[in-house]
Amino acid sequence: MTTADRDPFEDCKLADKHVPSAAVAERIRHTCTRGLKAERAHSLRTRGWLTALAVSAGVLILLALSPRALARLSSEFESAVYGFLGWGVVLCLVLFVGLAKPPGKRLGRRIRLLIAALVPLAFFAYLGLTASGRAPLGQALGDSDTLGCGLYALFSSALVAAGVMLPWRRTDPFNPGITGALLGLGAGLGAALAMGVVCPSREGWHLWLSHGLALIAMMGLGAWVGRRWLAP
Amino acid sequence: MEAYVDGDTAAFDALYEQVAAKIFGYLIRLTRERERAEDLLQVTFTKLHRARASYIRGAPFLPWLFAIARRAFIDERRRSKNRHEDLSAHGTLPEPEPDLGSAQEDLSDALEQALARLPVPYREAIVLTKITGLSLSEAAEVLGTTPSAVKLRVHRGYKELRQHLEAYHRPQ
Repeated sequence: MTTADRDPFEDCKLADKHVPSAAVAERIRHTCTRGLKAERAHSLRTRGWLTALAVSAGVLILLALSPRALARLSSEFESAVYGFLGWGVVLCLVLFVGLAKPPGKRLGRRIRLLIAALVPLAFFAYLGLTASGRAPLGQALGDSDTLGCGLYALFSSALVAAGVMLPWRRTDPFNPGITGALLGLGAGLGAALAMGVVCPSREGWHLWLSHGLALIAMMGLGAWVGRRWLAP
Repeated sequence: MEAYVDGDTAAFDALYEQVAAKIFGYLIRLTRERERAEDLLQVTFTKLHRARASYIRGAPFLPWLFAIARRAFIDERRRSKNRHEDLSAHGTLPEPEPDLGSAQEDLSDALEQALARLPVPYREAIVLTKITGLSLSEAAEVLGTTPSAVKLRVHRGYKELRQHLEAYHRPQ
């Protein structure tokens, strides 16, 4: 039997060959045990509830703060609520997939990436279907309502995203970027749903640019912040 | 880990005994320098200490710690790339020599040296699965990839290792 046929590690015990020096061990011990006291570590369930609370509070505040909310609710209440509820279920699923299990036991990286890619696409398609008209893009870009709604959606979803990420700080060394993107997606979706109820516009470009882009922006921001905030 | 989170110093000592050599072995094989590996070990444990309240009970601990160590290595490498490097007389960047602490010419040393010559992705996959003993799915989580990709890296790494070892066994 030649060397090429064998497992190179079969006869060799390499695992404990390297040991850190005593001085390094002592420094580590000093750092990690100095003033050590019990920490209140939140369970997965508590963190989940805090996340749900942050999303709900964000959506409710967004609805309550908008001066147009009542008018919108009275005119197209039914369709707004159906859209809100339907996408609310999707939002719960996104958060569930992103956070339901401890890091290291969550769904595969590819599936989570696929969800992060498909949900915004589906939401943009939904916005396109609910649009009743489509003026030229230039008109939507020059419209002050588009900018106002967009900034409002962006600002509110950033607040929701910050609230959502807080309970998960330093929890995920494996894929903090993906977890951050999914949390950002959840926050952006929550804000976009609330915008759908608040804003009476049904113009296609307005919906995509003002309501939908916040979702994409939050996902990108979530991935960026996640790498810094969610990793230990 | 849970006792350590609850403030038990003895639990930290036990945890250190259990995992330090594994993490250090991983880091020294990544960096190929003892000093850098020791620095990174300290960074890893400091991060563990800082994040102990964020550890979610039930999360697989060893992969969790390996992922922290790997991230510390990547961050350190990124920072050192931005630092000034001295060029050799030929105008190339000097390649660090493997500094693995022993000069004995036995198989395990030959294997260590062959391992040090592998590209980082293959080396990491082999160290995590064959030396540290993580499962394919745990190693995949640590490396941020899929179990089949880890398997492929191990396979390709083995192929290269065998070539290096064949050369070692060939009579001079």
